[in-house]
Amino acid sequence: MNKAAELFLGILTAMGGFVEIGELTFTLGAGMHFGYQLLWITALGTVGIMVYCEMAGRVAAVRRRPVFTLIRERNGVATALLTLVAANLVSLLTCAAEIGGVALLWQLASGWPYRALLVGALAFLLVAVWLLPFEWIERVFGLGGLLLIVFVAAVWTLQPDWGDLAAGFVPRMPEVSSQRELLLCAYFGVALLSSIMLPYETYFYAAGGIEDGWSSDDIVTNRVVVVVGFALGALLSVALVALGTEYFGPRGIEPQLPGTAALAPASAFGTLGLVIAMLGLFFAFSGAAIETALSGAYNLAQFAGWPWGKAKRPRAAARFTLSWIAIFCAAMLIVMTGIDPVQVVEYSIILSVVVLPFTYFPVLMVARDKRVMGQHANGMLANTLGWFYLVAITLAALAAVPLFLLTHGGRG
Amino acid sequence: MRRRQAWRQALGLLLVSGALAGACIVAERRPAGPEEVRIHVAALRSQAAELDNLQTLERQHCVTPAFARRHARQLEQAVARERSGLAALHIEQPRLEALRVQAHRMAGELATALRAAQQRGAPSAPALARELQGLEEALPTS
Repeated sequence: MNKAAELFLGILTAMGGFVEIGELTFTLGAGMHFGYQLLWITALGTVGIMVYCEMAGRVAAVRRRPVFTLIRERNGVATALLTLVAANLVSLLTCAAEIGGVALLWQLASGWPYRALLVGALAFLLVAVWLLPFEWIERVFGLGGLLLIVFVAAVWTLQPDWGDLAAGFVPRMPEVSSQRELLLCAYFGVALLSSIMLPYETYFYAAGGIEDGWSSDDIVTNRVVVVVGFALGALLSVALVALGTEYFGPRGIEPQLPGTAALAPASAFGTLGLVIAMLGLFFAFSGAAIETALSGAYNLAQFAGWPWGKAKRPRAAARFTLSWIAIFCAAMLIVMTGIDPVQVVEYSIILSVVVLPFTYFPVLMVARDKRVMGQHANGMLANTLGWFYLVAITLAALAAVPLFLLTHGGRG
Repeated sequence: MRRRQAWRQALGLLLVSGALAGACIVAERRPAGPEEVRIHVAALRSQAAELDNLQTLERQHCVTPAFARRHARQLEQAVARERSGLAALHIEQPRLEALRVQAHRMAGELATALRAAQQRGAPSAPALARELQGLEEALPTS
């Protein structure tokens, strides 16, 4: 495949893989509760994930070092072990929520019992990861996720006040009527930032670069895919905030089920909109479930120094293969208990914020180190943005748990 | 030296776990206030509004009747979770307890409306969302 086609597919895949169940819940909820006031957090988070995925991808291309190897080298074994436990717990919980989301969507389509569909979803994901090569996993689920563009089209039919929407990108103090609302707004801000900058995305992106055999020649591809693909992906997030504001807010509905989110495109385009939205959500949730399970296995293998990679035959990377199978099975068992997948998302998102500084600090340290990266080390812009985001996510990490407790898990 | 360090770390972990468990027990036994009731009432109000919206979309043929039935079933399960959450609240203030009982009753009515929505041609229930909104506004601010 020529470079241009590869770049184009990479951009579309990054865009289609941007939204998962956590982001869906929090973007719609943020719009429903606070209108466009938190839109600037979406932009802030998008630039943040661009900055750190670009760095992680560049390190992977130049040094062929994945994120968790860097974490272990730079943070020491004890801190790396703590990060590993927390990061894999986040991956496990996120994977559980995504599997629950897939089963809920299948239940809407088939009417079959939820628990049986959970088993079906597990079998489907195991077979997909076992059979499909890495680049096909990325493409099938990333490109399928592009069907979520129906949410952007639904916003267009609602004709929101574009001035109000644009004003949302300007950071400002929220207009709220009580201290309770202010805390809730802060919680949604932190959760929104976390749902966009989820750490597994960086682990998966860097490991994916190595799986795809990137070299120094791919640095420009990495940069373009990250910047353009994620910017277009953020368009989906903005559309979800807008739907929360324009469709769900006036009706007093806080979307807590995947089927609820699909009601907005259904209202705009009828059953065709409903079907496209449900298919888009299915690809997005399945893709995220696969990414989280593989990320967990990548992390474990990279930390322990085991052979890893989807490109390797399962027997050649047996412990890696067993790890992603075990993560899928454990995730399915979590939702099999009957716990609400959206509640699982809330825990995973908050835990994610706490893990973020431990994940991004070593990436920044290596990416800026001229002895390691040579001429490909961070420039002034990447360093400035890297430090800015490190401070921002550290503050968010400190605030996350108190806000979670004070707002009863973001419920009020 | 290493053994002593390991003991110290184990003791630290034990203390932190004990403190967390203690905090959880205290939080669990603490009587619920208006905020805890409001959380459930707000969720029920949103679910009632969603039922109303779903039935409107079904009448407009924007969603298939099968989708509407299955979505109503998922909503019913979500309502059941809120209802058991309300039932589990331990409230000491008599006025708040009366509002909790009222909310619990309305959750039952919503569950019935959702069960009816799973049968074809069930009547819509927009009044429930309004009643729950009224109940939410009647709750005292803490």
